[in-house]
Amino acid sequence: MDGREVVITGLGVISAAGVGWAEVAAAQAVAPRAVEGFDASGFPAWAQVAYQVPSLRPQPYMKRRKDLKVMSRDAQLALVAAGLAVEDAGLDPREPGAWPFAAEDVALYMGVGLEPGDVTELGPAAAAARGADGRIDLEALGSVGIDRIPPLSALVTLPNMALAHVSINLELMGRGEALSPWGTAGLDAVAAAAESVARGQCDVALAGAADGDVDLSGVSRALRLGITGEGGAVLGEGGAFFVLEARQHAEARGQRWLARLARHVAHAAPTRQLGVFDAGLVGSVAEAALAGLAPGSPVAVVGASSGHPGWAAQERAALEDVLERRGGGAVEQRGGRVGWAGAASGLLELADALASRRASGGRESLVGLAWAPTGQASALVLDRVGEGGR
Amino acid sequence: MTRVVVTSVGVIGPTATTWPGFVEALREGRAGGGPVTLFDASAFPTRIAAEVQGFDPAAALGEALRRCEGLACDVAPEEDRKTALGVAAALQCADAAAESAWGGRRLGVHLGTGLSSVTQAEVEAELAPWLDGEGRFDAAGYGAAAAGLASSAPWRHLTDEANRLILAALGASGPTTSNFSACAASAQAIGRAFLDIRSGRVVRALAGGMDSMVHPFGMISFMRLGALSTRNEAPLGASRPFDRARDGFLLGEGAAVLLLEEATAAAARGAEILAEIVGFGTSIDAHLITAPHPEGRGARLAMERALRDAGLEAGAIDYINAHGTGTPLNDSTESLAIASLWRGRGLEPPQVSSTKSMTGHLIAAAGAIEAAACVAALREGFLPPSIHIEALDPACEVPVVEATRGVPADVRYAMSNSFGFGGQNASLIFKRWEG
Repeated sequence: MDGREVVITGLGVISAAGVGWAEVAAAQAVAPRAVEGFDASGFPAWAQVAYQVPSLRPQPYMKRRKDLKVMSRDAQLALVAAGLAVEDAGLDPREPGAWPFAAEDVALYMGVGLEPGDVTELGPAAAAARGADGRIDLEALGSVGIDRIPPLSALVTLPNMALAHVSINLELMGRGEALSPWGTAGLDAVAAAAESVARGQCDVALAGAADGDVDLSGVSRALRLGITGEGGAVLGEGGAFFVLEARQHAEARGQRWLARLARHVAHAAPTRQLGVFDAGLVGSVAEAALAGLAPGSPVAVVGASSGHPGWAAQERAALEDVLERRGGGAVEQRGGRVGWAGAASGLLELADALASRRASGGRESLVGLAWAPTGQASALVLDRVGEGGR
Repeated sequence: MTRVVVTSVGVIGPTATTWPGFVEALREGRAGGGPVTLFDASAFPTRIAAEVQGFDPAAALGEALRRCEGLACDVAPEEDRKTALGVAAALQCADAAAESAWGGRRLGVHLGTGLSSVTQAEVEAELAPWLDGEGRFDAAGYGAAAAGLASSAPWRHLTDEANRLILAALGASGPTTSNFSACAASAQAIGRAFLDIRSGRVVRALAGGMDSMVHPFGMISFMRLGALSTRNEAPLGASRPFDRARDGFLLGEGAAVLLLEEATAAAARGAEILAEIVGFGTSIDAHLITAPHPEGRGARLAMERALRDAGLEAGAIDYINAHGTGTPLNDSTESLAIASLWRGRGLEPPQVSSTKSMTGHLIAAAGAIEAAACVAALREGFLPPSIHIEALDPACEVPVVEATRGVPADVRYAMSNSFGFGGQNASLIFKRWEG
């Protein structure tokens, strides 16, 4: 990154592996469980399990608990992950005015998923407007069905509302963007925030992503898009956030840092057919990302294959080829701990890897990868891991 | 400092479907809008919208597929006007740039996009068959049938499907992002492209946005929020930002895409430069999900940051294209934000207008079509009017361009404001190209 050095001073992560970086790092093995929240028994057996967060409680980070009624699961996951990150950065988000510096200057960049909520929420309206032929009678919809749609339904289903809830509850008024390329959104949001810090537009930024798409529509969508399937990926959910700071700013306030954001690379090779995993694209992005690291320095490349066995095999071959040319490095594929988590994909795996390094004292650089079914790939390079203090 | 310029614009909107046509409509103060024709809205509280007339989504998507052998698209065009509008505007913009060979080029594509919502066809295919007489849903029955459902909902919901089609059709390789910051989405997408070029990551990028929520469940979602005008008997005058009697916005649809280029690269290829983009600022209200901050705090922060980014004093701005939706809350709080920023520095605010008075509110595409309006104002030397004002709301204490046609003016710097649900704000600053 050009400009000021940007470091990670807070890590917040919530996934099926646990809540908070220490719990996540301590989770030895994570397995998908039976889907909760709706009756998935009609779906094929492999779609009846997912990497879900067993007990999601955003309330500790909420100013007004009644807002829970208008928070999607994406927003709840985002708020917990963001709150954990802020706490980890030595700040207490539950205290009004928690920021020791102007909240107007704290940026919030977020990767957001596809529209949360599922079609069944329109059930009462559709039932009121359904004609004998099964079609929707627009006259009935406009006169009767309309009143059966919750007034704030649009504000629940807008993906950027996750960002809104985080900003309201953590009192963030800085620069903000909600990026949504499905699959790379999280890494792209962190990169955008880091650029803002590096350029001096802000000293502190909160950046990350969350996705909670394990509902009826989400399971159906992933199945039909070919993400999940027999022998395919398992759906997951979660959130990961980093507090990013200018290194000088962090050190001036005595805050330890976990790693430095060294580089972001994004390529696109638009697929002619959706959902075909492009190991070559992922490999090319990894190669460009690795070019910024000292030859031979220890590095682990965290894959983007989201636990999909077929993709994982292709990805491993491509990445091992890249690493061999570079002269060394390891491939880590952590999708088997988190599943395919949409907008949080890639970032969730990177956060998982960073949490494990933090617990173990590992110091090699990390290259996090993310891939979108529409043919985009991103890489984020973290170096100087573990050098910034305890 | 790297300079970034606008060298082409594609517009598919309610007032025109070409860039020259859009400029002309803007100058003449011509409004779009009429009774909804895309579906039978006769029983709905709001029955009017600013639709794009004569737009053929199948032809638009077909054109992208024609340009790239083997390119597939699984959305039903009539179900996804949004993506089709975005693709059409992007290809129009690219074609107008006289760059016939984008192949192998690293071309950024950054688009703002909006809610796909749920279409009538999707409700009929994915919901109604599994509802019993009481409205209870048989999830197990749905699950058993899901793999074979013919609806194109999963593909339509992908936020970056238009990006994929555009890149493939142009043979380009990104980088690409989609932005989902509600009504600020396409302004932020333009800002992201601007930052990408300024930082040297790419030399040129297509940036803008698209949206169409003119379908039953899309319109209902806004009606339930109480956001839409119900002036059903006078659709052409329904969008009346800053008017005392405004009653909500006129839902529009469309897309606009700008080609941004690094200035020396544009000059080197002999491109006609339409305007320069010099500043970008964003902010978050951190207030409520249902309403803007009552003092327009977030709006003011976005404008201040754009000014700082451009290295400009407030007094340099000649014209503000306001977010100006025509809802009672937006226009008064935005006016307050503008007034406090300028008057707080001892300055009179610049001329302000809302081109939504003509185009309606294009939601995620609003920032892009209003950026295009700023380019037109700078290039052609006129202030786009705020039409339909019968009595200026005294709560809007800014100098509004109350006119029925564009007002000739020497416009050197223009600011475009876009504010979204959830308190996401963006301001862009454009400059007349002076070499």
